[in-house]
Formats: sequence, structure tokens, C-alpha cells
Amino acid sequence: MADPRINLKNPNVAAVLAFLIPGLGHWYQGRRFKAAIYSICVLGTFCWGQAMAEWKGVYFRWQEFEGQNRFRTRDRTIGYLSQVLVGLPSLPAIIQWRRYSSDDADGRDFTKLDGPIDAAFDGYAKLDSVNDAWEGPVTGQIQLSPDDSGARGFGQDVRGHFRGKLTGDAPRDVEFDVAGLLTIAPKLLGNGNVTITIDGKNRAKEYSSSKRLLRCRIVTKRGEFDAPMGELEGTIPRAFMDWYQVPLEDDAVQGMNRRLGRRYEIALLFTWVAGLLNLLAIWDAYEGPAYGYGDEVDQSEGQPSTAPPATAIPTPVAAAVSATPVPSS
Amino acid sequence: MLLAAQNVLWYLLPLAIAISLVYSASRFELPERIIHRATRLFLQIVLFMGTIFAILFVLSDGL
Repeated sequence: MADPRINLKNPNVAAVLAFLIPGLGHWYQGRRFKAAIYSICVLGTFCWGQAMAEWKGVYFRWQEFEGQNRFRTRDRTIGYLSQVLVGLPSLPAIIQWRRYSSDDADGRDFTKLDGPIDAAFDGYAKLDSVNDAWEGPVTGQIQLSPDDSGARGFGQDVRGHFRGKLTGDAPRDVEFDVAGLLTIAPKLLGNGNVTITIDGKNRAKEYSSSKRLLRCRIVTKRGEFDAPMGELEGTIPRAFMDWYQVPLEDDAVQGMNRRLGRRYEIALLFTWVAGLLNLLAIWDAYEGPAYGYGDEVDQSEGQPSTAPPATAIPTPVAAAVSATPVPSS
Repeated sequence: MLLAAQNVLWYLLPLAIAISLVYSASRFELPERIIHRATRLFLQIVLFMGTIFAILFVLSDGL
């Protein structure tokens, strides 16, 4: 039972608001100081954890593997059950899980362009023509779009253009046509592997959920056809809504652990603790403070205090006397 | 942040502050009482963790 001096207004509404946005329920009740504490502490802890995990520490996955792997029959993000208590900031994970696990999530086709692309590109190019031969890292802008003319003979019919800079030993501006899509990671995360392979280096695999791997041919026009002259491989940024809180693949999680080490675990801990803390805030919005208003006299440390009369603050002596049981005769 | 870059254990300090404030706020209503209880709880947490750290540090000597 809440102290009569605390106006909880509608406790159900306050609890729902406190769940949706930490501190909002108390703001609604006019308890501004507590609203500030809850919002700063809970949202601060949650966002700090997310930032430490490169904003990839919150995602939801609830999946059974039917006989695919006898050592692993399920994949469940138990920690999300705590993270979800933060409310709106973690609820997109449920929508992303539904998008990710639905059959029509643009499939998991790594060779299909789902629409026109005009994006920053970072990667590696290798050109081998009679007049010009070079290779090296490139950055620039790439435009790609599905081509319905049906004149190409390899891969999905796509056509586009790249304009940027060749960096490395002999930097210079480069510009060329591209076509013949070889690989493009799905719109939603399907595999976080964005390792570049065409430079021939045996490098450690790199994983990212916010970048899409793209590999296509460099072509030159010969009559009606495009003649392949080389290859372009690299990454383009994935749209925010297509990676934020989307379930990470196992390889991507392992990549995060390798790169961030214990910092990734601490980051997850922050997000879990934030959710559990908000549980206290929700209960406070619904039921009021657990021990009382705060002007009561402590009976013993860690125990609920004796509530004073609403009209006067008791002295310690009076409180002690009133707490003494009277023997019945 | 600089301290945390040296050792991830420093991340536990802001975490302890948040836990102390939220826990104390869920117990009482008066701001002065909340701050007072939160300060005491924070010191208790730090003292407890520090003690455990010291014990483990001594026990791990020579390993």
C-alpha cells in the first residue's frame, strides 16, 4: 500500500508508461525527481552498453534446429528477456526477428539485387585489360540497378557504374562500368562475412552486420555485349533499419567477441542490468516505494520502516515506544 | 573511460552508481533519503567488490 502522500494517479497507466520509456510513468505521476533518476540511470546504462557493443548487443532469436546439428538444438537469446524490460528502446528486436525469420524477407539469395543501389563503396578492384592493368583498394560511389534488357550473359542482369579513387601505391581517380553481379549480401543480415578475397591475401575473416558484401565484374562495352575486364569486391553500408537489432549470425557474434573481447560481455551486462533496473521502476510506478516515504525512522538496516502519522514526524523515542508490543493480560 | 581502457573492472563503478540510485529510488520517495541511501549502498558495493578483489588478488599471487 502506497503512502497516502504519494499520488500514483492511475497505477496501470503509470506502469505501462514506465515500461515503455523508463521514467515516463513517474513523470506522468508528477514524481519528477524519480523520473530523472530512472530515465538517466536505466537509459544511460542501456545506451552505454549498446554503444560499447557497437549498437549490436540487443537482438532477439528464438529458434529450434530440427536435426541439423546434434550438438546444438536451439538458439535462444535468454538475455533479451531482461533487455526487453527497458521497453521501446529494445522492442524493435522483436520486429526485426519477425522480419528476419519470415520467408519473404527478400530470401537469402546472395546473387540477387533487390533494387537500385547508389551507395558509398569501400573495397578492392582488379582490372586486367590490354590497355590498362592495375589493382588495389578503391573507395568511391557505386550505382547498380537491375537491368531488364536481357542482353547480359552472366549472373543476374545488373548494370551500373563506379566512380572513385584508387588508393595505395599509385593513387589516382578511377571510373568504370560494372555488371554481372557475383555476390551481394541480402538486405537483412544473412551472413556477416564481409572478408575481401580477390586481393589474394589470406586475411582473417571480417564480420559486420552494418555492411553488405558486394562483388561484381568490371566490364567494358563491346558492341552489344559487356566484356568482363576485372572484378570489384567490397562493402556498401546496410540501411540502419536493416541491421539495427537484427539477429546476429553465430559468426558475427564470434567476430564481435574476438574484436571487443571482455568489453562485449560487459556491454551485454550493462543492457541486462538496465532491464532489471527498470523492473524496479515499473513496480515503483505501480505500487509506490517499497519501504515508505522516506521520513520514517529506521527499525533496522534493510528493513521497511515504521510509517509516521501523516501529520507529524515522530521523534525516535516516540517511534521506539510505539513499536514496543504491549503484553496482554 | 581512460581508466576503463586500462581495466574493464572500472566499468563496474558507473554500473554500481546506477544500481544504487535506482534501487534506493524504488525504496523511498524523499530525494534526500534516496541520495543518502544510494551513497551508502554504493560504498557498500564498492567495499564488498574491493574486498573480494583483494582476496582473489592475494590468492592468485604466484599463479
